[in-house]
Amino acid sequence: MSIEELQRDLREIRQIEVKARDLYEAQLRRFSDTSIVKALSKIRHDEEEHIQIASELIQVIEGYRPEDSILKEALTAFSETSAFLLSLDIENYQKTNMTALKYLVNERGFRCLYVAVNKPSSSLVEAFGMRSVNVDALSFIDCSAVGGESGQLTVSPENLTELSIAISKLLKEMPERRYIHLDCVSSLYIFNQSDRVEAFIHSLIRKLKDEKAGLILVAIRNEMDEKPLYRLRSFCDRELKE
Amino acid sequence: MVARDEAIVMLVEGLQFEEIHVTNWLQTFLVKLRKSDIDERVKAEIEKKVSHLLEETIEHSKTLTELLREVAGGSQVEY
Repeated sequence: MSIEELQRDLREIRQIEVKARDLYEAQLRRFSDTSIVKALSKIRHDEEEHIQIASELIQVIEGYRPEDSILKEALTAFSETSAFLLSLDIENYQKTNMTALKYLVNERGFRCLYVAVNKPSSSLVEAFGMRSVNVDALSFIDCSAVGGESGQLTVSPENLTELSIAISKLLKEMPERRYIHLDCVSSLYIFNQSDRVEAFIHSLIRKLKDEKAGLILVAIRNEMDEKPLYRLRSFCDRELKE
Repeated sequence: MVARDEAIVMLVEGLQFEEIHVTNWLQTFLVKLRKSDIDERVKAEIEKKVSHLLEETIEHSKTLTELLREVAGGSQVEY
């Protein structure tokens, strides 16, 4: 069912509600029995409201744009020297993160170094594959797998220096048109003091700009205080909120 | 003022309109909406309002049915 079909159906529903109102209006002019007039007046009043609601719904549908398309449009400005903060509500986190990754990798042709802080890379690869993300374009640094079990480079999320070295090392092995997808920075605050995380991100952005690699910094807003979020915003070129 | 038989015809007309046209369109629309690719948040907003329309339409049918019973079983000749 397309948006156009829904629009057409809603217009039809509004027209039917108009006919219903007109029908009861005509009947009310003829009935004089008190109980019938009272009941029909209530129904006619409801029909007026229904016409209004149907009109509002037509406007909602007319103004509708898929969330994915809004995000993708915003991401068209992303380049090899961009640092974008993707600040997400926990409800939208998985879906929007996946949409951004899929768009940049599949549609824009970026190579991605995915820093997995929240989930082991093995489970992410499975989830990405199910959503047709081109996993061949992904490399991982795993911050949540234990003891290198994932077969990927594993770094403790508490060790930001080691993480920075690992990013530099893997970045060198990646061809042009590449970016780092850090999922997610808010979890780094669990393992580190705020100022250390912010110093790490600040330094990372500077380094990536020098090396011509982009950065998508995913943050779950519900997990963060306002102040660190403000700082991250100030470091990045743009914030995309979902 | 209308005669009893005419009152019945008018109330049946209203009842038929609610049940055949309005209820049908609203129910069909809800099915189509649920199958559509619209984002869940927008879908929920639309579904809530259309469900409200449907609930009130079903109430209208009940009210008209009660009125019909009263008129059909009543002793008055005019309404």
